[in-house]
Amino acid sequence: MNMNIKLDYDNEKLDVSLKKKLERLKQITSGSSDLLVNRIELSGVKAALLCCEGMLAMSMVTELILVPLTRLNEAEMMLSADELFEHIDTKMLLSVDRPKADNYGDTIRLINSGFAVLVVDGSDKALAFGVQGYSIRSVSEPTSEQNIMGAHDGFTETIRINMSLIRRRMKTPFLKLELFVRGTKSHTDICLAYMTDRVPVKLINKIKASLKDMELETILSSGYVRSFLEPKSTGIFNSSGVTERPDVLCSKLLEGRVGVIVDGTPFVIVIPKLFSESFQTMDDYNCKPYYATFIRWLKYIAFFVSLLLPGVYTAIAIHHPSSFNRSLLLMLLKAEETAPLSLITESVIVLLMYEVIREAGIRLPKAVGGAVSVVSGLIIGDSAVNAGLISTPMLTVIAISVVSGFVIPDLDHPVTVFRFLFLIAGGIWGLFGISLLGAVLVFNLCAEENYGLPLLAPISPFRRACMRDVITRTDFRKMQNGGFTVEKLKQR
Amino acid sequence: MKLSGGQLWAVLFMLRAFNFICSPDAYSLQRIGGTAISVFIQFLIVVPVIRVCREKTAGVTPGKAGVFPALYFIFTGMLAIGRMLDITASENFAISKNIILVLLLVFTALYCSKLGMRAAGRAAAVISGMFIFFLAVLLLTSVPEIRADNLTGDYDNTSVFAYALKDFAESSEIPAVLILSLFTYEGRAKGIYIYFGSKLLLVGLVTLLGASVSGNVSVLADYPFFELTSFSDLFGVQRSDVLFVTVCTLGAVLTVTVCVIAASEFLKKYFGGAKLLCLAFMTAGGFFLRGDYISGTELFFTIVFIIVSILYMISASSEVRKAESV
Amino acid sequence: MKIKLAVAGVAIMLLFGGCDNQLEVRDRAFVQGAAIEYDDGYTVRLKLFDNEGFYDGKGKTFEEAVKNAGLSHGKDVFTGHTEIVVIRKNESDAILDSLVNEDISTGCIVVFDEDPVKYVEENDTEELVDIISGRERNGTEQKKSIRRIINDR
Repeated sequence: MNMNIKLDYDNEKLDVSLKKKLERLKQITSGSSDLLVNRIELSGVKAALLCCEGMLAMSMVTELILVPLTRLNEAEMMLSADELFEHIDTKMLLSVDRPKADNYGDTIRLINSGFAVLVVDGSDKALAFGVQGYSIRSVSEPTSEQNIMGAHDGFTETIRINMSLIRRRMKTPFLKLELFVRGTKSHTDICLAYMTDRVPVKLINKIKASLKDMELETILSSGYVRSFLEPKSTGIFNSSGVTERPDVLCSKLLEGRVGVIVDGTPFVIVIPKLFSESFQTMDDYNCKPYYATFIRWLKYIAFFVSLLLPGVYTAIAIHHPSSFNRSLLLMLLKAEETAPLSLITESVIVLLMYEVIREAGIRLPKAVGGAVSVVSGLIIGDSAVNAGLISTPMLTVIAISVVSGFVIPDLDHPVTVFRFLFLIAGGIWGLFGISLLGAVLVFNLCAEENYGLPLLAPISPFRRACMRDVITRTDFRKMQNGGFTVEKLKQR
Repeated sequence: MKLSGGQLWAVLFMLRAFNFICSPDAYSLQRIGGTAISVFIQFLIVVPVIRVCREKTAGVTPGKAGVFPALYFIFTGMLAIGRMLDITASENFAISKNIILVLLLVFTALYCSKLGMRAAGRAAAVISGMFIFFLAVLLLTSVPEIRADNLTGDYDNTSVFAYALKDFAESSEIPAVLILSLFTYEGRAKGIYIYFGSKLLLVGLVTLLGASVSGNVSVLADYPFFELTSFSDLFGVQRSDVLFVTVCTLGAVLTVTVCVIAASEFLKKYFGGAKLLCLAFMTAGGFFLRGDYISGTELFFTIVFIIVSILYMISASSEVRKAESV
Repeated sequence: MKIKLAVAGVAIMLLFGGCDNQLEVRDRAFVQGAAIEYDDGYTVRLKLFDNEGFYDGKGKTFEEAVKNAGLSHGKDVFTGHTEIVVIRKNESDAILDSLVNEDISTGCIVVFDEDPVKYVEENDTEELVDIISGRERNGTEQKKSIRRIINDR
């Protein structure tokens, strides 16, 4: 389907006649049942208040719009349709948000966005009142980014609420929130949030150009938008981040990044992103530097363990057993003596089973989720080991690897896939195979750039001053003088 | 093709480190002396040329004379593949068929070369960091095995002068110092000075450690570096020579990748998809240049290519000088 | 197209290159101690871990002798974990020099005896290794390893 077809009513001017307007609107919406048409008469002029059922606060509509409109006094009854509009807009002030529309496209969008739209016989304009009252999820703790000492509020699906959460934290006038509409069918609101004194105009223009290139019909989550903001979809690691936390987004905005808020999803895209940020959490900045540094290094080690342990273990066990010390070797010999499957097969099966169980745990309803833990842990795991199908060392290695992966949820997807690849490479080609795959990964990481910012900065290209939040978590007294922005990490 | 000074250092350091790991020469005090002399001579050759040719040549497109640097990089790639083939015959690399090993290496290098010289420079920095870390731990864990009286033994009959020549031959990355510096936009001189210092430190420290730990065993061993690493109790493993298999492989991938990128950049004018062609030459040459052929051929071609690189560098700088004066 | 070619290439390499030298842990015999004699050829008696038995073999080189030792038992003999080697003193130069480039670590303990084969049969070499290592840790005695003997020549 050609996504470039402009909808035929989009720029069609509103009819002057009320009857024709209403007929045309019914035609465009195909007689949809949720389009409510309230016919009213204002100072002798026929009018209609249009709204979408379920999208408005009906009590607000009645109190703030319908009652005042019907109380228009004698003098106001002498006005023409355009004068009436002018009077209602500038003198009656029925709501704070009062956009106008002069075509069917904007009128439909306003109705579907929860505005109450007033159309009048004799005028080709429409006046909308912001009285949205659709059901929204209240601000609650983000599910994907848990913290102990950080704030417990997270973004919601409503873009306006998300914008207010940012504004509440950053009261500076340099914070700019720019709204766009994208999606030819969904007309989704997208907001660019950035600090005008930190982000170069060139970067903003590039991002806007990328958003403009998006010819999607619907935008239902930030994932749709993310692919257009990253240089290529074949990269292994994401060069843009997502966050559900307003405090994290604000810290990124201060570093000269741009936030892309998408209506309908609580995940805000942050561009550009650094690889080292996957290991940082808000809690790091709420505890002592020595502890934060310790946890940071724990995560770095956990990343390598999660990615490489099964592959390295298999490689050494099959191809380089001289690396094991005597006790490990004897333990391995005893465990593998009666195992019916080869080491690679065993490890691939265990890893696959874990992924199946994990996916099942996410998709199952909460009521049944507990049963998954019992079945997987006790029945499958324990029984398989007792039956001799799987060896205990292998199960332990896989368990350590997957648990280590939980420490860095941001890298879960690439680690999951590459764990398998390293396992196969190590099992077949030993440490040589692991090294080659490692080289591919390192080169890929080093090549990845987003809007000119290398993903692996400040490690490579190396910037010593910027390493203070990578190797350690420096004290705020030292960090406050930095004035760090991501522009400093770019390579000429 | 652009590099920063730090990336230039990292690439050159890893090129040298890979050659050093694959070296069959024994560890002795004579080798340290020979290396010091050789590095000093290399320094005297390279640094004046760098000082004279100070023009900002990074970003300049190579002209017709670029065929000679291209030949150098193809030759260096051949040497790297030849070295890998030799070492896998002796050490445990887990692959029995040479052709598969080379194909895997070539595929990886082809993929990595598509990502560009910038990625290679950054990757070199990461790999060299990894190598230095492993080396540091190796040094620390080998301390209990050090025997000072191994240093005084006269087990090595090779003279200091012979080691100076061997080191010069092994330093086939010297032309790369000159050629790649043309593509370095900042910190060129600093990167090169640090490279010479770090090279001397690497060879000197490891040779000293090797001599004091292995001693006469390094004369008998096919690859003394792997022999030295087999002593070490790194991270609680029984023997850590297999861990250095990783570093060796990464060094080989980086060497071949850098050579492919550089050679294809110089040949871009004549061949569109030069990467595959360069790799094909390197692979074929690698099977030919093995064992004794390497040590014999290397010294001759290193000298030839040093002269070629100096001339190329002078010509590129004078072109830029002419363009700027116009 | 390029990705398809790359995948095809890797698949071919997997098919032809990766699987022929796959040795599972249970297919290997791990040597704990070795008695080596040299008399115009190598004779070895290999003692496995956990008293799993002895493997005997002969060959022109040490590698060949070890390979032949494993052939009769249908296992691949792995000497990388050898902890103790028993040889005759007058054969030590020839034997130890050849062991440098084998899988055996040069940190392996060397014991001299006139009848190495009988020595390995009659003594618990695992216990012997523990005793010698213990003595070295206590500073009572320095263990004679392959590299120490070669360097002391």
